[in-house]
Amino acid sequence: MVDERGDITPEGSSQPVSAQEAAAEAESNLAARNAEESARSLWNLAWRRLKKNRLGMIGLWIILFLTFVALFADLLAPHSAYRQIPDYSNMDAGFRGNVLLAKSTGGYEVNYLAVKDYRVVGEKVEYTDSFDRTQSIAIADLAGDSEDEWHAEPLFLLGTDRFGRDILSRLIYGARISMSVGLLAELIALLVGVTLGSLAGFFRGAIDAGIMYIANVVWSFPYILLVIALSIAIGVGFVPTFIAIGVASWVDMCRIVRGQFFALRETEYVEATKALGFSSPRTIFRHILPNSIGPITVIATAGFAMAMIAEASLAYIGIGIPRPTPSWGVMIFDGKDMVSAGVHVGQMVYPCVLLALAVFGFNLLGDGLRDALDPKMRR
Amino acid sequence: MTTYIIRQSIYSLFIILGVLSVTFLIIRVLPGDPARLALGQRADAQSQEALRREWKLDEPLPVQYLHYVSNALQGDLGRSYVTNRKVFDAIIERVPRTAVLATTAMLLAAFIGTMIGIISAWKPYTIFDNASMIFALLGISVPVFVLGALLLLIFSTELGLVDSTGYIVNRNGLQLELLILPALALAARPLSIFARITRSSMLEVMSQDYVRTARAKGLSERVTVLKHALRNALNPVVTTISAWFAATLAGTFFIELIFNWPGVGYFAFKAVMANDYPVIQGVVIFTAVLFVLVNLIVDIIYSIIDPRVRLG
Repeated sequence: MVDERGDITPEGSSQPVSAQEAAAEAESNLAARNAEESARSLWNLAWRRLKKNRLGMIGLWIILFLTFVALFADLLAPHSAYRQIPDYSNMDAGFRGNVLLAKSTGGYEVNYLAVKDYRVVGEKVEYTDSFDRTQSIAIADLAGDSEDEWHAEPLFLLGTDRFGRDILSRLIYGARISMSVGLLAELIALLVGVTLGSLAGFFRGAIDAGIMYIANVVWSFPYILLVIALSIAIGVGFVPTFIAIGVASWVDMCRIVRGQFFALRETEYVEATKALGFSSPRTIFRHILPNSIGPITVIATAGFAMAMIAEASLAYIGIGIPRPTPSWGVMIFDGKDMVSAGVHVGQMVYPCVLLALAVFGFNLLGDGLRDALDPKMRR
Repeated sequence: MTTYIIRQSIYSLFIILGVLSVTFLIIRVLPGDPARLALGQRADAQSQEALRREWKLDEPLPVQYLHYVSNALQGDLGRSYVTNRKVFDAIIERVPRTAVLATTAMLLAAFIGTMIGIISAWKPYTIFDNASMIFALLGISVPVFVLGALLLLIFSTELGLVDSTGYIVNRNGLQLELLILPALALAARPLSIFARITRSSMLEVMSQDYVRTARAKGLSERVTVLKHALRNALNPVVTTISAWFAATLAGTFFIELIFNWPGVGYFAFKAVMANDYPVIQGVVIFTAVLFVLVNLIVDIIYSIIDPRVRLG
């Protein structure tokens, strides 16, 4: 994502440490002051600034809300995301069904029999089905002992899709898919990007040239086309999808980490680590990376949003996470047919709004974090 | 100067080689025998064998790779599995339609985006500034296919202003009203980004000493902002606009799909549906190479305008 990004310089560079000091003490000073203590105060300061940023906090709340929905989808969803009730296809929001729960012969625990009306006649239940035919079923074949158990009037708060599945439940489980793909893809991008960026920025020279060459090649592909191509190559399903997105998304992270290394190498405290003879991994992991955490967080937040868009995009064109898994992208694609016909626009609008809201939340938070972590603005 | 151009050109050539290598790798990972995919499940062994020989599939990988790269560099991107047409020709034929769409979107985005950015920076933290920055963030957040679908819903289904069948059914050549919605949907994201960058760049420049001097010596606000501040603030904006041009060409993928616009993106989508790998691969290579070339040209233009670039 091309975006304006303030270069964030390290916070709290230490006083020059003389090499004559005992190495152990010096390092504990350095590490404490630069990495841990300053990281804590960096986050304290950032948090205090973020709390004052109204838009940033709105973003944070949106993300917390979606995370909550994704984590507790099983408890929050009123119905199964998969159960199809063909009689209830394309129902409007607020539709209340009327079903008898019969013992299942198939995959589900119970079958749903949509009825218009029913009455108990001896050992049987006579009911009128959706086509006004009178049918009957033995009470022994119903799931449950009492009428309360085998009869239900499920409420479909946002209506049903064309297969008679509950839209609200699919949206809720869709949040889980969307958030987990975003998280896992961003973790891959973070791992690859930070590793390659650190190597390029720390060792420079031929290693830098090689890594930046790969980064430039990957960057030359239009992001979404690369994701599509990778996804076709790796395959469909949950795991291939987040791998394809992650593998295509590390370049921004790599560049920003490399830039941080270039900037931080010149600081006194990194020079001091050299003077003290610290190993490269020690300097990288304990001194440079902790001080780059600000820009990394900002890029990761934006990357998370990009990954969510990429997942929905893949689902939208029918690769990526396959049906019938509830994905917002698939729901938008299926809803589009309804909208062309001018009916049941909610089927497309709800997932559209949720996806946009999620990405908006991440971008708000990303902007807020950038301002909060920008030392130029800190006083 | 000349050495800079030559150096950049050679580097771009290497990037293009890298692009070809990556697509080659992706194709090799694909399961299945390309010859059988091309000819269908019922093809007889003989014609499969002929095709395998033609594509050098029996040769060792390095030979296949060289064959593939030299073909691609000559513009031979293979033939479509479905129509057996040359992929390159099929793409070139569709480029003008995509280019019209992308150019309209870019002009819209560049013009409106920088205008919004300038006004926002001129009067920062006013209602206009706050509202337009929130809208800009929304513009960045709404995925392009979501925006396209919503625009179609509002203007076509609900208001009935625009024909949603798009360019394909409506074969009366290019009609302006068919261009408006897809161009708007495509422009939203770059427009928002340009507005944000123009604003932050302007704000930074406006706090500089020479702008204060310009004001102090009594220049009108209009001259100060438009002549002194804007000139210097536009540099990062121009960089971003050029970087986004190629991205917008690729971004037409979903827009063309939603609005039935028969350009390169629509072509690629149909290929994805039909597992027509040479076409997908061809479109990916084509746009990537285009991106590299656009960047090369921008680099060269920059080096002419701003000598610091080639020294840096």
